Amino acid sequence: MDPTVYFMDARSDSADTSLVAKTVTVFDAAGFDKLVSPGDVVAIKVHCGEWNNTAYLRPVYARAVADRVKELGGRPFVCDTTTLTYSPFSSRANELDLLETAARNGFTSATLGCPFICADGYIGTSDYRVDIPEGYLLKEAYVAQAIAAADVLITLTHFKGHGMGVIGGAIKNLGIGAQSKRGKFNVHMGRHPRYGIGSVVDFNPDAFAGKENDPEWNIIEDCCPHGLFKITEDEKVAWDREACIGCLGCLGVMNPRGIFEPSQDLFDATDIAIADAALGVMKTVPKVGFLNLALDVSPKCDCGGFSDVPIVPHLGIFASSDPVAIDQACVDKARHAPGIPGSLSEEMGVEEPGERKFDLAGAAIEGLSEQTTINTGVVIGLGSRKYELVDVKPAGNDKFRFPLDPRPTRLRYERIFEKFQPFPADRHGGRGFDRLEEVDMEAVKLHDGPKVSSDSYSPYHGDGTHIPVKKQNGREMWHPGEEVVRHSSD
Amino acid sequence: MGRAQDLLDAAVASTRAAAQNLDDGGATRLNDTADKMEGMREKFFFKSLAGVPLANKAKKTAASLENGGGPGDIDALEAIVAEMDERLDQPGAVLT
Repeated sequence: MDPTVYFMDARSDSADTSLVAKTVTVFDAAGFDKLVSPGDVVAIKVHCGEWNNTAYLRPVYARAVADRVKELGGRPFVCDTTTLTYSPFSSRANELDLLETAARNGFTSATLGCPFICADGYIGTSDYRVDIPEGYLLKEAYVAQAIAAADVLITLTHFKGHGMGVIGGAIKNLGIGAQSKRGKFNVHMGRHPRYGIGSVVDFNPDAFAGKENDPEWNIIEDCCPHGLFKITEDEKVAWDREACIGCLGCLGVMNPRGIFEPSQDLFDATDIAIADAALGVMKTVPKVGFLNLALDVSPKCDCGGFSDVPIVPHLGIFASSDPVAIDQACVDKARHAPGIPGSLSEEMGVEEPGERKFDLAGAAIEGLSEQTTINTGVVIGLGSRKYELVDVKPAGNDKFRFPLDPRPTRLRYERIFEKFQPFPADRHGGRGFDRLEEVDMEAVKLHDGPKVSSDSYSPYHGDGTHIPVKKQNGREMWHPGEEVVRHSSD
Repeated sequence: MGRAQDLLDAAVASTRAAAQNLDDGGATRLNDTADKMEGMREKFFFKSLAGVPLANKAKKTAASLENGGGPGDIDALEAIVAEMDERLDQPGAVLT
């Protein structure tokens, strides 16, 4: 039997069709409420977004899941993991930076109602090694310790494109996101003899324009944690490539200068390894559920310090126990969606429904596939490409009312309104405020401008009367009016 | 064959087809533009994804010309090809 993917679209017109409500609704529909037993420690894995990224999932989704876990008697925490360096100026490569970035992006214990933690420790070496003999390429994985120690893992994923992974979905949230820094070196092929950066990148040392022509030349030497790049006396770049550990911090420095020509093998191998490492997590944590929120489907990852226009409209909320099926369902929805005008999908010529969106609008280089990680997942037994998509019905507005004070208006506000009189019923004959009796409303509704006066400072009143324009230093000015301070005791 | 090369080939074909429907002046301009695009085809820029957006623009503009087009289409196509020429050998032609 094919695995089930539970789905709600992204339209909303009521409390129970709010995207937050839908997240909780598909959580229950997929049976995740039964994953959580009283006392279970539940890891909710999110991507908290790089500094200045804006497409990551709003913290309220994690909060809603954490609240649901607490209702079920579980003890939730929300987490992310340290990154490799990925760039010379990364904002999440150690726990201190990660927590500061997460807080700026809205992920704190206060906003989430439970602890927000860095799951792989200060540097990223707090982990649990697991053998994966089933792996297509990797034979071991290093799972972030706090995730490996949890009773339940809820993978709360922002589904989007990714320069290296092509898609960023549930599998990647495990295969990269739930790996420690050590695990990420493994997945990114650090020192792999065939696929590692040091082995496969075409290195063009003559492409360096010279210190005089490259005002930021020193970043070439400073982008590597081991200092493997040097500018030689004859103004060439020297690289001790055999010592490269594959942190990827140099790619954004070398590629734009033409010093590196990226290798498709490095990218393909990483996309395969992502599925292998994801299997390592599945073998480590007893109970795992997947939520994919395909909203703000940006072409590149939340690990960039920017977010481009989404390439397709919001696709919806997905839940499944199968990470392969849920990612395939999202890819299929994206494929059949129209591209958003003005986005990278249009620019890359894949805006028509039916076109594969991520091969071109997600991938950083030619020749990558949005199916590589998914297919690898099928091959190693992580999950199924075939799935049954089940439309989930809204759970009813009652369930999603403001829970902290469930009383209706009269019970909550009768005494308070009587006491503090927020409506000044004692003024203007009971009408409360100084307002005109009747105005020409049609005069200001015209799309090509108002029909009565187009001067911004002209005090033309809605009832057709004028007051003289005041001038100060030759400029027309707003009438200053009169300040009246009204106290609650007035 | 790369996606950008595919799009560029389509742009060249549409440009040459459009040239057949124009007078000598317009046809010469379009054939020159098609020649330039063909000359760029084997550059790494068009073997990578970096070349896709401009090749895609050229394809759409050339298709518009082939279908009758507007008065500004020849100028627009020449401007796109000039931008290609400018970016062709720039370092950083690879998206990261």
